[in-house]
Amino acid sequence: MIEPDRDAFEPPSDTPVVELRGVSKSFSVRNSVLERLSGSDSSAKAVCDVSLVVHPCETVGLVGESGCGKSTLAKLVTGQLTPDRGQVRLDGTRVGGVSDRSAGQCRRIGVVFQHAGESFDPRWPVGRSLSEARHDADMGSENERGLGDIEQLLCSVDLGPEIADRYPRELSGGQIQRVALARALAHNPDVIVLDEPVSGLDVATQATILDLLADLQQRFGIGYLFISHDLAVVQYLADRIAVMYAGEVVEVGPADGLFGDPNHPYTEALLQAIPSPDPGVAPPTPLDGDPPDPTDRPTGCPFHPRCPAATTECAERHPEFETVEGTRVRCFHAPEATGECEEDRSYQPNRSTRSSRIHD
Amino acid sequence: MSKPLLRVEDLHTRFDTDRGTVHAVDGTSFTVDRGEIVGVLGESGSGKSVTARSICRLEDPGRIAGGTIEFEGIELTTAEESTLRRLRGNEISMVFQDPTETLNPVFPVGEQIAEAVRIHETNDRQRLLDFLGVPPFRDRSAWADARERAVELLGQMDIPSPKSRSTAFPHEFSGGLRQRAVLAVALASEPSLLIADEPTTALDTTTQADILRRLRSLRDERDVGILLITHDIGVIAQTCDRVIVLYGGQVMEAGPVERVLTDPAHPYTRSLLACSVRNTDSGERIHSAQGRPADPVDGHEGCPFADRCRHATAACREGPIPTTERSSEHRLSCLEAPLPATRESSPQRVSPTPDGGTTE
Amino acid sequence: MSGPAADTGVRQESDQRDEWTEVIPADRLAQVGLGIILILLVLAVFGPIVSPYDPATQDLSSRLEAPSLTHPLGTDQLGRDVLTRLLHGARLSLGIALAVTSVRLVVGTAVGLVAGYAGGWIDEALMRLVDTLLAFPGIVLALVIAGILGPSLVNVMLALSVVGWASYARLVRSSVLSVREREFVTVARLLGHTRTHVTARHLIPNVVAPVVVLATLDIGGVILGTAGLSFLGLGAQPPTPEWGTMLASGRTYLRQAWWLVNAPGVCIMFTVFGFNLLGDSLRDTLSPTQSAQMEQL
Repeated sequence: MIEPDRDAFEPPSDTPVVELRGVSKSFSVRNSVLERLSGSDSSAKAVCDVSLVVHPCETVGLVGESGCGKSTLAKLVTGQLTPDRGQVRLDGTRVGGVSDRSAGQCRRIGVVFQHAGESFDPRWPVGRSLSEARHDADMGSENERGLGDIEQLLCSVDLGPEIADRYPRELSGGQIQRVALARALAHNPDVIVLDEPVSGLDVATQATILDLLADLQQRFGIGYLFISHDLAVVQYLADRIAVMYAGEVVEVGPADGLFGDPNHPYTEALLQAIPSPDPGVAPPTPLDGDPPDPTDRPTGCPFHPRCPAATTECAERHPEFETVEGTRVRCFHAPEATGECEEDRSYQPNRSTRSSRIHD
Repeated sequence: MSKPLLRVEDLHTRFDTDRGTVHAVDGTSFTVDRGEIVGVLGESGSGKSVTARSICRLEDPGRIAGGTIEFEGIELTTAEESTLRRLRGNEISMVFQDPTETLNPVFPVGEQIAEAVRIHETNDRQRLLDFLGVPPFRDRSAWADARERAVELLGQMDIPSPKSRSTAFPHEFSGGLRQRAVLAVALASEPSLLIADEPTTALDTTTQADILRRLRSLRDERDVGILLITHDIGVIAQTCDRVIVLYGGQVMEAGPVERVLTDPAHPYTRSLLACSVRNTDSGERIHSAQGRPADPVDGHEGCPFADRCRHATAACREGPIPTTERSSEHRLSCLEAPLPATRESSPQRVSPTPDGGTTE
Repeated sequence: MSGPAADTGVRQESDQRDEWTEVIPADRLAQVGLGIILILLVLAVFGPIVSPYDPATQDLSSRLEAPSLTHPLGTDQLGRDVLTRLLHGARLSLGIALAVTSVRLVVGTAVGLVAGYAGGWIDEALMRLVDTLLAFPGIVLALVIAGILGPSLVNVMLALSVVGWASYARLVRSSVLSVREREFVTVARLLGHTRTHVTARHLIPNVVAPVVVLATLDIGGVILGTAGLSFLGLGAQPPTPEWGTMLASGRTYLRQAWWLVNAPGVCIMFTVFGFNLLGDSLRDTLSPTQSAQMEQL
């Protein structure tokens, strides 16, 4: 794990702000009255036995194709869903769903969704939504981060105070995303769940939002759970990355190691699918096939039907985590299964610059 | 070299709104040939989609205020509705961003493709009763053939078990399969021009790679001309032969992809490239462009990018900007070009700009 | 600092103007509707004060007089001034309509909120009740209830209230179901706010618009219903100057005194017309999805 920045507001602690211990969640799928009568109830396994921790001042990236269960995982963290098995812990305390959590526990987690415009009451000026988020926050700690009023909140996300009087529909995509971020900050969270926060935005706006996220983390020492299907975006911000496939985490490790030298064939496939902005680089090779149907998961390793390195063993036994070159990976053939991604080495980020990032 | 497939010359599309006339497309010129993919790159609000819709003459509620659109020698701006209908059915197809919205949810996918095949076959003599399936008026054998063709098209799109899939409904398809089905619908009429408006923005990176590969093989195997609209530089770099950079409804820079993306001459193209996350190491700050896109109400005096441009002079804000040829096929609309090569060496760390925080 | 402050001021002003144009509908028909309702309200409030006659005092010497300067709308079979009675009737009719609609609105909204928010068997049970009520023709059911309770104005109001709330409940429930799934409600819940807070601050304000439209359209129906039941003798009893009752008692003299029937009839028509015009345009100014939802009712 990357050491959190020393100059951050909160000192790093060993207790993770959010911890998932072997959580599983499945949904029952009942298609027709007939099936209901016959009692055949197939369940879709959205998340299978996932363990993940987010420390203060750390960004954990969660990547995977759509339908891999990353949004379900986010809902388990926020409490919109409760796990069938396993535990969700906030600061070491086991918590239930959102209705079982105390208001204080709820406020430890902030959320920013992909369509931020949808997450504001259309009848309220955004300033009112911000004060709603702030209203119940502890009066004592309120000024701790210098976010005493709406103006300061908006200022912290580089918006002018006049934005408070606007309605959500009057704001551009980038502006509303900033306001959403301000709202998440309003109640002093320890961790913010960012569900595809920049996916619908232009390249230029994406860039400003990512810069802002990095600044806020520096300033307030917040942990991020950053969910995206775009590895390039995650790579920019994340310290650690978890790759999900068919409801399982297949590889987890420090961002530089994982990007520079992926050990799971799926991670490698994801990396190779990123189109390079350099026209000289060969076009990305798509991964054949589709993700498995969650009601009908393949036996053994869930990735084996699409995996170029699959053997009979992969189809029969389910691989457990093993540590390979600093990352934890679920593959029988790691690290030999990957390796022909020489061109991806150009993506290897220079982690040393991260801690020296200057904040103005 | 014969005439190009599509030639757009000095196109102006305007919208009359309460706030004034919006000059969405403001004098755009370009060509698309058979067997080439032309990318249109720009931020949202740059007039990309309006350009595409104008070519199909679906610009409503806007209006074409000037310029010519010539498709295979036919002038589209003045063409009869029946001519346009014939062209849309046979020659020009369009693929949109969201496959879920494009497919009709109440008909099986195969049926929708067969319908497109039939429209193509019956040409101008479309009979309502035939399409409604009223027994004596329905040409059963022709529909059976159309369905067979639909299965064939699905097979060409590498949709597994196309026969059974053709009777499935859109919601039973995954995102990638759905977009492939949309492509199959678009190709049913064997078009010579395909307009793809952000075809991969709603998709995963892995699925995106697959769709892009299909577009390239369409170009190579069927000699289709493709106009690919996107804000993703990576997509342009990996797919297109030529690229047009749009800003404020005007062409800023146009030319072969290798030249425009590796050696951009226009300051706007440079700022777009600079703020791509894929061009940035993770520790580094993304260079985000200053300010927000120009307001297209009442058009622009001079260069639309002048307000955000570091090199702008008084001359840029005044007269019309002439288009210069930098080299053959590499056109440019900038008074200050050639610029010093500053992209790599701009060391100043611009703070993230409020995207409209204090303006509007 | 003056820059942003001035900007904010301008901003707020334009917001207020927007609010105003939203309240007063732009289209001509809606303005006509609003005008009719306003005139009616003024007449109902001030008319009886100005009028020199008493609505119940009989003057058998001037029975069935045709409209003249002393009696602009003539007199009825007992010599009472028709215009005075109409003005008093306007008070009564509008009062009843507002009261009944308010009861319908409050009961229906409450039931709809509970059903939509609680879900499960509570929802099932309430909605089956609503379905049952909606399965009967409203006026017939009101007739039965009023018949059982005995003829009186209060009973008519009760009967009309009982039959009418179901459509409100259904509308509110479906709105709640869709609003509840929207992200801003999720966010409010994730902030740790209580159910009451979320309901009061987010759910109710966002379902209120279509309900107001329904109520406006409904007022006309209630006025018709009251008049209808009174016409049949179940509502207001004779000397009470109610439009429906006036219509019923004037019916006998249709040949000798056309004004007896026409005056209240035209009044009812214009009132209902006014409310319907206003309601229709309110519906149109709402988003198309909401108007589609209303159309299904």
